[in-house]
Amino acid sequence: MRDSADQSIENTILKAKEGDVGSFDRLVRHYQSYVFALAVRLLCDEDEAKDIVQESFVRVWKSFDRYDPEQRFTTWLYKIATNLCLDRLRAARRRSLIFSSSTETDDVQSMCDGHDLEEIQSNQDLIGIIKQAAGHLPEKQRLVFTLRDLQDLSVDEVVEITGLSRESVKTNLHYARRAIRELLAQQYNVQGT
Amino acid sequence: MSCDRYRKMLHLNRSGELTEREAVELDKHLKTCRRCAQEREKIAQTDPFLSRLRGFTPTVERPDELADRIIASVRQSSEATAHPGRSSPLDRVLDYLSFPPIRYASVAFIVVAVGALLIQYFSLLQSVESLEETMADRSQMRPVPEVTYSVRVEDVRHLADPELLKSLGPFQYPEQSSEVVIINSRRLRSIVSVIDSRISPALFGLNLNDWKRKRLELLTDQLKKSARTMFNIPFAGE
Repeated sequence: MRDSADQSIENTILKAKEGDVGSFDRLVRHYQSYVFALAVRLLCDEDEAKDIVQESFVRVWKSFDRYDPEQRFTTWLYKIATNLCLDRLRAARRRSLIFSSSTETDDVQSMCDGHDLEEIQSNQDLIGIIKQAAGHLPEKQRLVFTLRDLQDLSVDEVVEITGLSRESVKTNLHYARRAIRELLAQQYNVQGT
Repeated sequence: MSCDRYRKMLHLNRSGELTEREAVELDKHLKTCRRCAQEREKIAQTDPFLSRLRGFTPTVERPDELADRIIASVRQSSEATAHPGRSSPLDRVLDYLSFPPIRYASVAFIVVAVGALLIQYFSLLQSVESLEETMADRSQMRPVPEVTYSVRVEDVRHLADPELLKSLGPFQYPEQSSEVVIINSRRLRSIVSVIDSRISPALFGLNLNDWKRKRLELLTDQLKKSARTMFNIPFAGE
C-alpha cells in the first residue's frame, strides 16, 4: 500500500498536468534538487546546471499533456533533463572544435573543476576527481556511469532514460567503471585492474 | 568460457546488474579461477571510493530563488499562450512548426503535394500525346475508297513468294491480257501486311510503321507502274 506522501505527490503531478500552476510550483520545489544534482554530475558546472533545471521544468510544463501518468514521473523528468544536458555538452564540444584547437578531453575537463589528485581532502575533492575521470569518458559511458553510479538510478531506469538496450547499458557501465577504477588505483595506490 | 567475460561481470557488481544465472556462473568460475578471484579483490578495494562518490549529492545554493525563477518563466509562458492576441495569427501558426512532428509532417505534406502535382502534370501530357496519336492514327485509317488494281502476275511475282502469289486468289483474265491479277485495295493491304510480318523480324532499328509505309509505297509503285503500262489505269492522287 502506498503511503500518503506518495499519493500526495501523485495527486500534485496530476493537478499540475491539468494546468494547476500552484501544484506545479510544489512539484518544482520537490524535484528541482534531483534535476540539479543530475545536471551538475553531467555538466560539472553549477550555473549550467541551474539553467538546465529551469529549462527542464519549463519543458515539462509545456509538454505535460504528453506525460503518461502510468510512467514514473522522475524517469520522464530525468529523460528531459538528460537530453538537455547532452545538447549542452555537444554544443560545448562543437564550440571547442570551431573556436579553439582544444581537444574534446580538454573541453570536458574545462567544464569540470580541476582537482589535483594529491589535494584530496574531502568528499567534494573526491567528486571532483571522479568528474574529471568521467569527463574523459566517451559520451555514452559517461552518461550511463553518471545515471547509474552517481545518480543511483536502477538499470531499468537508465535503459528508459538513455534509450539504450540493457546490454549496451551494461557494456558501457563496465568500460566506464574499469576506466575510473584504473584511475583510482593509480592515484591512490589501490591495486586496481 | 574465456576469463574476459567474467572480468566484465566483475565490474557489474551492483544489485540488478547481473542476471541470476550470470551471478551463479560468476561465483562458480571464481571458485576455480584464482586470477579472476584476485581481480575481484582489487575491484573491491576501489568500491568504497565509488560509494562515497554516490553518497554525495550536489545541492542548490538558494533553492527557493531557483524555484521562483522557474515558476515565473512558467507563468510567463502560460500567459503567452493564454493571450493569443499578443501574437499575430501567422506567428501562432508558425509557432506550431517549432514542434518537430508538425514540422516533419508539413515538409512531408509539401513533398507529397508537389509530387502529386508533377505526376498529374505528366499524366496529362501523356494523355494529350496519346490523344494526338490516336487522332493521327484515325486520320490514317480513314476509309480508303475501294479501288481495284489489275496487275500482271509477272510484275508482282518478284514481290512475293509463290505461296503468297497463290493467295492472290483466282486469276481473272481481261480481254486484252493474259495472266492478270485483279486485286482490290483491301486485299492489297492484307498482302502487304503478310509480307511485312514475314520479314519484320529483320527490322532492327527501323520503325515498323515506317517500314510498312515504305513497303506499301514500293508495292503500290510497282502496281501503278504495271497498271499504267498495261491498262493505262489512273491511280488516285496522280
